[in-house]
Parts: sequence; C-alpha cells; structure tokens
Amino acid sequence: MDLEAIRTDYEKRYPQLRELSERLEADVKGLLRDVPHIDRIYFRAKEPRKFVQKCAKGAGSAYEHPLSEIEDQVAGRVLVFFLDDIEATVSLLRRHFTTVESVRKTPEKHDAFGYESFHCVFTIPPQVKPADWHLVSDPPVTFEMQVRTLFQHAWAEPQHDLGYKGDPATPREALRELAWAAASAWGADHAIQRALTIIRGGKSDA
Amino acid sequence: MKLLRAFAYTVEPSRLTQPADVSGGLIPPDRSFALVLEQSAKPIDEDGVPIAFNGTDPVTRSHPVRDLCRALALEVPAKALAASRALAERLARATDSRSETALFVAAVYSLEGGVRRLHLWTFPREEALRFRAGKDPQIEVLTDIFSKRSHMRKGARFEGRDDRVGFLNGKAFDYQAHYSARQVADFWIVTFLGAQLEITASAGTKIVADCLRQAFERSDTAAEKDELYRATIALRASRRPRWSLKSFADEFLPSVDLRQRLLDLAPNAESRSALFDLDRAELESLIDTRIFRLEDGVMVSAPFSTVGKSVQLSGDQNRLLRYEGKVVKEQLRKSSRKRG
Repeated sequence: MDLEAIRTDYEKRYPQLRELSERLEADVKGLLRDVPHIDRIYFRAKEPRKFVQKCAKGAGSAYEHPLSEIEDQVAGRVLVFFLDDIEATVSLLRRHFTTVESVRKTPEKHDAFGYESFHCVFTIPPQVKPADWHLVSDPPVTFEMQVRTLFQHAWAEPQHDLGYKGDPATPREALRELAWAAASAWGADHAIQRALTIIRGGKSDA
Repeated sequence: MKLLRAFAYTVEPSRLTQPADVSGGLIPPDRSFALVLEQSAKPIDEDGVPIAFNGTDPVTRSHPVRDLCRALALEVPAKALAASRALAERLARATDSRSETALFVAAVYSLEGGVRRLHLWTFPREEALRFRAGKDPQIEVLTDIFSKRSHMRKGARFEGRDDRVGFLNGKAFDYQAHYSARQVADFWIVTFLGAQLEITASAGTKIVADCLRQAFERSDTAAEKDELYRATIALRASRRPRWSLKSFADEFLPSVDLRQRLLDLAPNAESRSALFDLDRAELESLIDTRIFRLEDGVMVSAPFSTVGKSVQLSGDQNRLLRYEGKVVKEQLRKSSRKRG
C-alpha cells in the first residue's frame, strides 16, 4: 500500500469531508433540537495523519481500498445524560438516516468492564453532500455515529491518549485500574438512571 | 466502462403461482445490444432518485437483494447466472395479474479501480403490428416485444467492489413512484428492490418544512406569504404520499419567481429533485401555526385551522388582522423584543 499516495488523495478530499461533517452536524442538531437530556452533538472529519495511521494498522492492512472502505472519515457523536436516552436518540437517528449498521458495544463477558457505546453506520444522504462532492474520487458512502452517556464518554475518551491498546506489556495493575474506572462509570450511569426513575415516581428495575 | 455480462428473462406475474414463471438467461453482449443498454441507462442519470437498501443485517450487512446484486456483479459466471435468475423470480413474485409480462434485464459493467456497476431494468410487454407491403400485403401481430420507451419501464443502478461498503445504495428511476396508489408507487423500489428512498420521510419532510419557513420569512409581500401559506395547507391535505421539493413547488406555487426562490433554499441541488415520503404528522408538527406581529407589538399566534375563520386578514400592502375570541388563559411574561 502506497501510504504517501493515500495521504495525498485524502488531503485532496479533506475540505469536502470537513464541509460534510459541518452539514451533518447542523442536520443532526436540527433533528435533535427539541430532544431533552442531550449534552452535546459534534462531528469531525478524520485528520489526514490519523487516516494514514488507520490505513497502516495491522500486518498487510485490513483495507484494500481505504479511501472508500474506511467508514469514519466523517463521524459524529451524541452525548446524553441518561442510559434511557440512548435508545430514544438512536431511534430518532435511525428514522432520519438509512441504517447500515446498528450495534450496542459492550464488554463480551458479564464480569468484564470496559468500553460501552452505541455505534451506528448510516449512508451519507443526498441532502448533506457538499456541492462539489461529485469531485471526490472513490468517496465513502457511509459515516459513523456514536451515542453515549457522559459517564461512558468520560471513560472512553482518554483511552487513545493512554496508548495501551494492543500492547501485551501493559502492566496488569494498570488494566485493573482501567476496569475499575469502567465499572465505576457503569455504576454511576445505573445509579443516576435509578435516581431519575425514583424521582419520576416509577419503580427502579436497574 | 466495459460491458462484462448481461442477462435477460421474461417475467410472468407470479405472486399467486408457484414456481415463479421466468424464462431466459445469459445474453451474448453484441454491439447493438450494448448500445441499447447504454441508451436505456440514461434515465438513471436524468430521472433517477437516490435509494439505499433497507433493513440490511446490522452486523453482517446481508440483504436479500443486495446479496443477489453483489453475486450478479462480482461472482463467477455460474453464480452470477443463478443470482440473475433469482432476481427475475423475485420480480415475478412481486407482480400479480394486474401487471403485464415484462422483460427483466441485468447488465454488469467494469469500471476503473476494480469497481463493478450493475444496471437492472424492467421493460413492459407490448403488442405491435408488423406490416409487409408488396403484392400480398400482410399484417402480423407481434406479441413478443418489449418497449424500451414505455413510461412503465423502470431501472436501477448499484455499484461497488467486493467489500462491506459496495452496493449499499444506488439510484432508481420509476415514473410511477409518485403515484397515490401505494402499491403501485412502492412496487419497484420498495417491494422488488427491498430499498427505500435515501432521503427518509423524516429528513424530506423537514427539508420541505424548513424551506417553507425560510421562504415565508424572506417574502416581502402579503401575496407571496399567502401563496406559501396556501401551498402549505394544500400539501398537508394532499393524499399523494411521495414528493420532491421540486414537485411540491411545481404543483402548488403558481409564481415562477417564488418557486425558484423556494428551490434555492434547498440544502443542495440533489435534494431539490430527490423523492421522499411525506410524513404528514411530522409536517403538521413542524408547521402548524402562523404568527403575526402587529404594529403596536401585539403578537397573534394562530393555528392554521383558525386563519381565514376566526382570524381574518384583509388588505395587501397594509394588512389588517381581525380577531375576537374568549380568553381562556393569561400569562405575565418578559417581552422577547430587545430594548433600544
């Protein structure tokens, strides 16, 4: 894979990706304007440096045609207050966009704590494409969205900076601390949801 | 763009019969046939609307029609042939005795960068008369011909590579897609292709509501505001399920200038002509009130149902509003106007 050629091609399309992310952000903000308990909605176009890093990951690279295959060239995130808000928000997004993938990401084992988030992949709809989108060669057809609570985000966001993923030499003690932090975030989410349920006068089943 | 393979089947309506009645197979791609296919593809570019497969498996992305399209375009010849027949059978099962026999054609092209393009068409059967002049003039009735110009023909395009993102969406043309009869409107895109309009009902309804609101705010004259208001009411009352911003403007805005100004408010050029299903409940929740600010600062917020009835408007340049009604609630509030 010629990473330099990929970088050059990606940098050519970067202005259109940035405009697409701005238009998607405005679109989703308009969609969720009257929805309560939303802390933040934001989109980003993946920086060229990070795109090339993703292309280079893993032996032999997972992507034969990364310029079209990598689906988070534009990605968005919605942060909500309560666990119950995730499904409601995802439901609205799925009505508004054409869904390709829709998956709740949770740890595989019942006794493990780690990353949690709702991931969706949608097709890029016609009304958000920039006027010069037709000039993008081999464009992506999809974008990614994540919906999380604030606690899920607080745990997930520093992970990249910790730089431990995939490193077998990461000390066990560090991994246990991170698992504890994930469990705490999970617990806080459930506690705040229970509190909300009680305040609203319903039974708590959390 | 190079034609790689083409398949054709006659398709008899088979919704109520088993097995599906189709007949045909691989067609040798000669030059004249390739030319016909190229010409037949023009409406996909000119009149095609963006569509996307609906209900792909959220993990594997499998979808019955997407899977067949991929096999037709990407697989070895024997599997491509089987996929083409399966699509023809699906089309047969989607039609009943109200439809005529049709010719289903699938053509696969190779593009640059390893991309494959798939075109699908259905051409309705017609009868024609062949006349031989001469000493013994004769007329022959031809029943095994299919019209490539009929308004009932339909087409679709999908493309991609053999990966997770190929053949997820495409374009379709169907001149019956905007019909009021839902079964007719949905036949090609929804029932046969298992797809949906890529501008969803939620998004499309929001686009038309946003454009109407903006056009109304920017209108200078009472006549224009009234025209936009009447168009909004007419759209809410219309039984037609499917619109584009352009078809709405053409149908309900007599003023050419106002029509163009509304279309200029569309998010982009593609969204002007892209079809969407109108969500009436959503439209009514997005635009249901007309707000008037009077000369002395009085604000009148009038539900649509009251304008022209209890809320009376008169005049053009200097408009007057008349209203009299029983007070059921009063509030003390801070004015939203800025001081100074």
